[in-house]
Amino acid sequence: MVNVKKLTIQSLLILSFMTLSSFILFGISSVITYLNTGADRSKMFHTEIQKEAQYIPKLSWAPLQNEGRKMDSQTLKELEKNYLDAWYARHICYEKNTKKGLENYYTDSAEKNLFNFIDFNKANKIHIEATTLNHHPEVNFFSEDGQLVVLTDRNVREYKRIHQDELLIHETSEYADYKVILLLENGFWRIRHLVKQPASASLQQVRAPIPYPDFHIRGINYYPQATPWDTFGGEFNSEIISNDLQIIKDANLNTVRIFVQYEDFGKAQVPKGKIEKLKKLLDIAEEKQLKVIVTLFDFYGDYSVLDWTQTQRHIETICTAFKGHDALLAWDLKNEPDLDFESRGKELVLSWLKESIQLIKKTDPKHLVTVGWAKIENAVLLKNELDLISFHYYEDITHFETAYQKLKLKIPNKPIALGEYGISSYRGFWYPFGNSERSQAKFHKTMQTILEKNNVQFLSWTLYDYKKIPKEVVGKLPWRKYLQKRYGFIDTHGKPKKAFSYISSSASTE
Amino acid sequence: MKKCIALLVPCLFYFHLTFGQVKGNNKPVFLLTKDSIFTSGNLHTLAFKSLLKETPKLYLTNSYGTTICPVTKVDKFLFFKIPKAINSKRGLVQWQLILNSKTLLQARLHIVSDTLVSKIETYIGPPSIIAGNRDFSMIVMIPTDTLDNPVMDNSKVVLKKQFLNVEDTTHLSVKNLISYRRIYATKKTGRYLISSKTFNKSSTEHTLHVWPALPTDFTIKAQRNHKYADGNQLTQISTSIVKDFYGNVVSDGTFVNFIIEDKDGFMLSAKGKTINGIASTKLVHPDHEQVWKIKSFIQGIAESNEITLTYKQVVTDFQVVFSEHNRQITVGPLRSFMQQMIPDGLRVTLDIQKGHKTHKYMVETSKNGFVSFRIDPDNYKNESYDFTITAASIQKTFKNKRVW
Repeated sequence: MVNVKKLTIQSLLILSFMTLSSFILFGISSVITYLNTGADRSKMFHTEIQKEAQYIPKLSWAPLQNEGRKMDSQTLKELEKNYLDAWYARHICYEKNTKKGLENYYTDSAEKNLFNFIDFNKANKIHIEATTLNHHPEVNFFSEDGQLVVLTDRNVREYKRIHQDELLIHETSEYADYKVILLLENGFWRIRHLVKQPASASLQQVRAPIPYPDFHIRGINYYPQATPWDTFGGEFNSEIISNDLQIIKDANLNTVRIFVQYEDFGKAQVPKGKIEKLKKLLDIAEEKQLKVIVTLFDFYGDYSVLDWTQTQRHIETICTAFKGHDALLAWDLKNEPDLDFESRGKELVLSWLKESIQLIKKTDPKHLVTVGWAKIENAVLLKNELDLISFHYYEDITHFETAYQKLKLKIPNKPIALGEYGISSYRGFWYPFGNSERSQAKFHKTMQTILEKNNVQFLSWTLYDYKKIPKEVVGKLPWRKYLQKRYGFIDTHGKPKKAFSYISSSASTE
Repeated sequence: MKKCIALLVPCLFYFHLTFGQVKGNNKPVFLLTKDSIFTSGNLHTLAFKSLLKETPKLYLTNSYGTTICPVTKVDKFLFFKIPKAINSKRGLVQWQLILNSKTLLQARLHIVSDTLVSKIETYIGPPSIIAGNRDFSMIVMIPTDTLDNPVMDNSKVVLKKQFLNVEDTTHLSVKNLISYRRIYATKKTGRYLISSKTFNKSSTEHTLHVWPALPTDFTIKAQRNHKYADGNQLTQISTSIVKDFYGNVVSDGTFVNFIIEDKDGFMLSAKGKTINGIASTKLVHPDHEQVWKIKSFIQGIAESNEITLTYKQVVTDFQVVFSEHNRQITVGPLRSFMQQMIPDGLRVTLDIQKGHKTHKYMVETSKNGFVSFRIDPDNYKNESYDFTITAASIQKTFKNKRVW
């Protein structure tokens, strides 16, 4: 008994000794670790910041003719990066009314000027969403020791949305020049002085409306059967597309509407491969004498102001690549943006559309611009900005004629096209009383009569029935998916359905 | 609040006086403030007359940001108090009077900087330059007013420089928010003292050093007490005053490398740094006859002439005494050039060999002219060994010496 007691005491003693020593060791090692942490040498050059550029407004440097030291391209690149980051940090801080992140891009004395605004706006419950879309900086001066730069940023286009008490109270866009002094501090080019001046050049010129070509759209929305909503993915096959376009051509149609997914096309950095695939498709269309409407920004839903610089680079790259392509009929900026009105705010979506239309027109002055509105009531929106009005119609076709006539009255001087219409021939478990192929054919027959009677330009939905529908299109619910699978004129086995005879009015007469 | 009323009352009075003139204006809302250019800090309020039922908001934006102004409505007059963030900064101010997201009125104002300068921010870079007619530095001045706004373009800046006995004044003007000037190197070294003045304000004193240019070739000389290889005395080698092309003494601390080649082809080196243009180093004399060729370099820039030093042998012979069963070996007396005992520290070596293999190599230094070695019985059995003793390059060998 005594032995057990002794053993217990001994083991307890040893245990407590071990615990104590491990605590002391832990303490010492923590102190050593703490003393060993600190400035990492690699941080001196900010090499650790390898982020993807978030803020990429259009920026073009004026030819270098500055006074002082000769500017080199490396410095200019760093200067550009820090200068744009300064704008980006400023926008974020004004949106969130926070002072975080400014210290890297503004000197201590310049920072105070921004703090004044942040304090004032915070106190008055104001916050500002803003972005700059164009910069045209010119280096005026570079000091001989390479530590100070003066530049003039001309015609900076700034877009702002001002909110007070969580309400949007104003939206504006303005031009101005800025004279900027930047100092190289701790490896960052920091803004020391900023002086706004009236814009030096005339405002951005928007091209005159393009006269509508002598052309009547008889078209169809198109995805390859095997890869719906993914025309330009890994399974892109020009042979399949060539065959499909031949079918469309043979059906006496003259136009196809295709879709470019924003993320698939690399957002702001569009990969060359994607451009090549799109070019291939347009080349094939040209060969088959078909015109193409390219719908951009499919699956895009973030219209936030700070994202605009990214979407603008996307537009710029794609529109520049195809501005000379003869097969292109029109740019459809966004498929059914009016569906995002509720979730994103109508004003915000419309502002984004307006800015983007302007940029497309500037980048590609030759081709038409349209927006595929989901609802015919919304087709009057932006009617002055668009060259071609297009809307989608999935409602009761008995009302189509009157709705169309009404729209025609509201917009008498612009061409109008019905961008999507159609009916699913799905009848099965989810919809036991759905439309049969026969009623689909009937629908298209009626529709063709109406379209012909009113001389409406049209693009039907869609060439094929699909086996699989990505969840991004109609969500995960099976009854929606099944319905979406059967809108085609050709079934999953490649056989023309009954409706195929009414794919186009002339086809039916042939 | 009192301040506000104090400001508002005279304003109101003024606008009531001018009311008759603006009465004929039929617009529902119009601006009463007449000026469109203000000095920084002086734009306190924007006043409007409004016949509208609702109160519009004033949107304001300047170089640094955007805001909405608080309003005071008095009768049909609207007074917008301009926040500090807007009125204190130089540059364009754009305003819009907005009501229900519609712009009723819009215009621009200009805020110019004050002529009361409070600071001249000065940047001199590089802070030092080298003498001659190629190098230069640059001074950049940004005069700012009391609210930290750079002064307007074309403001005059007076730049004063003092160098040796010369003082000069340059008149500059502000362009692109700054004013700058290159300062070229002189052939003589020294320091520029620089200051500037804009309007009322003088800057502090700034310094720009003109350092000597690159050293040119120089000479070296040696100084020694005697020419004997006693392994004890020091030879000092020093350079002439090293100067640059323009005759300026090179900067203190210029590094000089002395390279010495002895008669056997071995290389030695010593280093020195200049003080007042002279670098020197000290070398202990060799302990045996030697010839040193010495040349020095300022690496990659300049070099000296080559000098030759000859050292005469001093130890000509020495005695070796074996005692205590040959286990105690005493070397000496070692005598120097005047037959005096050689100063302590001469190196003597003992090489113990057994069957042509070195058993032990021992090194001792002399003390009072003698060196002794002890052959330890624990390590060396009672056998025969070969002993070789070397001092001042003189070698003596004792073969098959038995110890017991």
